Amino acid sequence: MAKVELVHVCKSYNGKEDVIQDLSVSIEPGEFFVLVGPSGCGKSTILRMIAGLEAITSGELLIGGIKVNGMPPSERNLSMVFQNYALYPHLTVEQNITFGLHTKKISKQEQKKRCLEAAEMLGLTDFLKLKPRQLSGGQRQRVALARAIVTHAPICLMDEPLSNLDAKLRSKMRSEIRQLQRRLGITMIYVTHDQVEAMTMADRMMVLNEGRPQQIGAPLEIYNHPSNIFVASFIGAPPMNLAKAKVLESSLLFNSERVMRLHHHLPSSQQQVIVGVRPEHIRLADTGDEYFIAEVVNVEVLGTETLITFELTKTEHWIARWSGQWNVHVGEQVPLFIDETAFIFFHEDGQRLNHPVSSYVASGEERK
Amino acid sequence: MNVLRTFLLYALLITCSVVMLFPIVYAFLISFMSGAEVLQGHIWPQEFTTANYVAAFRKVPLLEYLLNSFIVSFLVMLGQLIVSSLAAFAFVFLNFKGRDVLFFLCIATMLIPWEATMIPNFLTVQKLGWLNSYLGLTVPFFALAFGIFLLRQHFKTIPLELYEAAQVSGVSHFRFFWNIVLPLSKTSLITLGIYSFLTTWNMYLWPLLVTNNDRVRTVQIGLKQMQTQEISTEWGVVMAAVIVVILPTLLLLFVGQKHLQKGLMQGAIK
Amino acid sequence: MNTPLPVQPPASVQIRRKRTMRTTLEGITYLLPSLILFSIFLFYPMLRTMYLSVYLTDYQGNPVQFVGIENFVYLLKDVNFLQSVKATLLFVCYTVPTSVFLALCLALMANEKLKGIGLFRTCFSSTMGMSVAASSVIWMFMYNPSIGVINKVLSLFGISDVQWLLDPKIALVSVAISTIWMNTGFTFLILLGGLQNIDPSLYESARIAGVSYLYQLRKVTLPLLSPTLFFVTTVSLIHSFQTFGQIDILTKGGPMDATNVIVYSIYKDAFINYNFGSASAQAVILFFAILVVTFLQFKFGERKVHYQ
Ligand SMILES: Nc1ncnc2c1ncn2[C@@H]1O[C@H](COP(=O)(O)OP(=O)(O)OP(=O)(O)O)[C@@H](O)[C@H]1O
Ligand SMILES: [Mg+2]
Repeated sequence: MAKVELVHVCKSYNGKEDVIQDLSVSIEPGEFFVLVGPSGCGKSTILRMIAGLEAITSGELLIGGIKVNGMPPSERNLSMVFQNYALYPHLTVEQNITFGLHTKKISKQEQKKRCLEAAEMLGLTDFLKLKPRQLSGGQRQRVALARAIVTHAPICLMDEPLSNLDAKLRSKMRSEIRQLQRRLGITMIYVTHDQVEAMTMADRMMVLNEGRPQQIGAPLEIYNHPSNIFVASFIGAPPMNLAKAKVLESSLLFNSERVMRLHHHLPSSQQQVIVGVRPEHIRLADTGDEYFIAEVVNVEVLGTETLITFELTKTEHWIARWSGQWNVHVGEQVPLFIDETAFIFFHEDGQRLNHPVSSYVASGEERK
Repeated sequence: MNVLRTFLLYALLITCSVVMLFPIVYAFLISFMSGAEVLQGHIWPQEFTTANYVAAFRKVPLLEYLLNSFIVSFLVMLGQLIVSSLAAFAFVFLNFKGRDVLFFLCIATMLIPWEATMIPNFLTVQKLGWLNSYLGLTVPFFALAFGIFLLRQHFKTIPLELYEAAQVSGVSHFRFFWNIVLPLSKTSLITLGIYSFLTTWNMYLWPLLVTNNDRVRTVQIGLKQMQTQEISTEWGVVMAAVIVVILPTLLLLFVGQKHLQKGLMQGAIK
Repeated sequence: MNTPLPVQPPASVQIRRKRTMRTTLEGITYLLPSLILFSIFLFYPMLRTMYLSVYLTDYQGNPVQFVGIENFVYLLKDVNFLQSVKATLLFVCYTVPTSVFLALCLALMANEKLKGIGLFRTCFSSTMGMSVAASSVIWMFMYNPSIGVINKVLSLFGISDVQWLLDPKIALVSVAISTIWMNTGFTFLILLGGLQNIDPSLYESARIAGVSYLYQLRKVTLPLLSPTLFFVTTVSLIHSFQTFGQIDILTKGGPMDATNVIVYSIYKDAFINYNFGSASAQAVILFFAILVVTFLQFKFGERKVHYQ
C-alpha cells in the first residue's frame, strides 16, 4: 500500500538543463531503499520531489499506485527527517514531536500517548521538556526521528540524517534507524553520500551520478557486480583498482609495461578494456602462484588490515588490502597474485563488459 | 488551489506596490506638468514638459545645494568609515586593559538621542566658528556607535590565526589593519558607507540649525526653502526639485539594497 | 652588539609591563578619534544639557542663574508642554504599531518565492531612500485641500474639503500617516532580512506536517522572527520620539499645537524663543523618556523573544 514509484521522472530547476534525467524506480513497501551518490548528484532533489517540496518537471510519481504529482506534501502521508533536523528552536522537545499532529485529527490524549511511546522508543523520555539547543547532536537526531515516527506515516524520507554526527555516534544511529524501520515496518527512502551507510543499511540501493541512475540493486550485488566504472569506484573503500589495458590474445598489457597472463580468451572484439579488481583480491603470492613483482610505494597499517599501494605501471598505482598487520617497507619488491576470476572488465566508455561474467561466476563458485 | 494562491499573492503585491510607490510616481508626474494643469488637479500630464526642471535649477541654486549635499555626505561617509574602522579594529584585535569598559561606553552612546544634545552642540559649533561651514556639518557625525558595532561584528569573523600569523612575521598592527583587515571587510565597509551616505544626505534638523546661507546649505534645506517661498504657486517646480533630490539616494538604495539589508541585520541581531 | 643578554626575571617583568603599556597606548590611539568625538559631541553636550536644564540662560545660551528644578516644575504646569507630551505620545502610538504591522505584512508577502519578487522588494523598500524633507513636500501637496490628490479622490465619494493639515483634530493623524509611509521602507527591509534568516527547512517540515498558513505564522514564523521584531519595534519607538522634519515642513507644530511634538517644541524654545534653559529641560525629559521606553521594552518585550 505504500509503494513508491517514479516513472521517467525528470527535474529541471532553470528550465534548461536537467538535474534529474529519466529516473524510473519502484520502491517496495517495507523496503529500506538508499539513494547514494556524490555531492550534487541530485539525491536531495529526488527526495524532495517524492515529499512534494519540489515540483516534478516531467514524468510520474506514484504513491500506493496513485499519481501524486500535484498533491501537497501533507496529503502524501509521509514523514521526513531533514539533514539539519529542522527542529523548531523555540519549542520544547515534546512540542516539536507533536507539531502538526492536530491537523490529522488526533486527540490530545492520543498525541500525548504517541509522543511518550516514541520518546520511550528513542530514549528521550527525560528530555521532553527541554529545548533543542539543550540537547546533544545525537539527541536532536533522535527528536527528529521521533517526530517522523509519531505521524505513523507508512513512508519515511531521510536526507543525510547522520552527516552532522561524529563517526562513533553515526554507526550507533545507523543500526538504531535500521532496527526502528524493521520494527515499524515502514518504507524508508534514505539519502546519503556515504557508501558505508548505504552498504550497511540498504535492502536495495540506487547509485546516482550527475542526475542519472547508475545501478539499482542489493548492496552486495552492486559491490560484486558494478555495472560501470563509476559504481565500481564509488562503492567500496578503498575503491576498486582500475586501469586501462590492451588485450593481446589471453594477456593484458598495461601501459606497454606490464603483462598479466590469463587462462581465458578474452573477447577478441575488444582491443582496449578497463580492468578492475578489488583491493582484497590482490594478495601476496604463494609458492606456485603465477605472481608478478611490484614495488611498494606506500603502506598503511590499520590494525586489522594493511593497505599496500604498489606500482602497477610507472604512472598507475593500485592498492592491495591484506588482513592482519604486515611488515612491508616502502621500496620493497613484493610478489603479488591476483585470482583472475576477480577481474572485472569494462568497456573503454566505462560500461561493464558482460561476456565473461557467466564463466567467472561459475568458476567463482567452484572455488568455494 | 496553488494557482489561485499565486494569483492572489501577485494581486496583493501589485496593490501594495502601487500604494507604496504612488507618492513618488505622483511627484514624478507633477514635475512634468505645467502650472495650470497642477492647479486643475490632474494626475496625468497632458503633455510632458521639462520646463519645471529648468526653472528649478534657475530659480534656486539647486546645483550648488546638490554639490553641498554631495560634499557633506561624502565627507561624513569617509569620516565614519575611518573613525569606526579604527575603533572596531582596536576592539577586536588589540587586547588592552579597559577595552571592555570603553566598548560599553561606545554602545551606551546609542542610548543618547541626538536631539537631546543639539543645544550645546549648536553652541559649541558656534563658538568654534563652524556655522555655515562644511566642518560644522560633518565633524560632529564622524563617530558613530552603530558603525563601530557593525564593523566590530564583521571584524570578529576574521580568523584570529591571520592576526597571529601577522604577529609572528612581525607585521605592524597598522599594516595588518590596512592590508588585511580592511580588504577582507569590504562588504561591511560598503554597507556602512551606503548607510552613512543615505542618512547624511537625508539629514534635516542639524543642517537647518547650522546653515543660514546658500553657500553650504544642503538640498534638504533647499527643498524646505523652496516649498515655503513658492507655496501654492509653482508646485511643478518644487516637485521637479524633489525628484532631483531623491534620485541619487534612490539609485544608491537600489544598487546597495542587498548589502544594506544583510549588513543592517548583522549589526542588529547578533 | 647584538649578542642576546641573559634574560633575568626582573627584566622580563619590566619588559612585560612595558609591553602592556605599549599595547594599551596603541589601543587608545586607535580609539582616540572616536573617544574625542564622542566626548565633544555627545558626552559633554549631554552633561551640558543637564546642566543648562537647571539654569536660566541668556540669548547666547550662557547660564545666568541657578534655578534648580524650577524649569521642570514650570514645564509640568505648562499647558503647551503638556500638549506637546500628549502629541508625542499619541504620535508614537499612531505610528509605531501601524508601521511595524504593515511592514510585517509586506515582508511576509515579499518573502514568498515568486518570479519577479525582487522587483516588489525594491518597491517596498524604496521609501528608505527618500529623505524626510522630500517625502514631506510630496505629502504636503497630496494633502492640499483644493488640488491635492487625496481630496480629489475623496470627492468622488462625496466627501469634500477635508483640511488635512489645518484641522486640529486630524492634523496629527495626517502627519502620522505620512510618517508611517516614510518608515515602512526601513522597517520592511529589516523584517525581510529577519524572515530570510529563518531556516527554510523549518517551513518545509511544517508543510509536510500539513499545518495551515496561520498556524505556521503563529507557531513558527513569528516566534522565530521575534528578535527582529523586537529590534525593529525598539528602533521605531526611539525614532518616533525624535520626529522633527515632517512636522517642520507639514504643520510647523500647528494647528493649535496639535502636532507640536517634543523635539519640535525643543527646537522652537531653543532656536526661535532663545529659551535654552527650558529647552534643555525638555531635552532632558526626552532623554529619560527614551531611556525608560527602551528599558521597559527590554524588560517586558524581551521576555517574549525567542533567541535561538
Ligand atoms: N533550488 C535549486 N535551484 C537550482 N538548482 C538547484 C536547486 N537545488 C539544487 N540544485 C542543483 O541541483 C543539483 C542537485 O542538487 P541536490 O541538492 O539534489 O544534490 P545532492 O545530491 O543532494 O547533494 P548533497 O550531497 O551535496 O546534498 C545540483 O547541481 C544543484 O546545484
Ligand atoms: Mg542533499
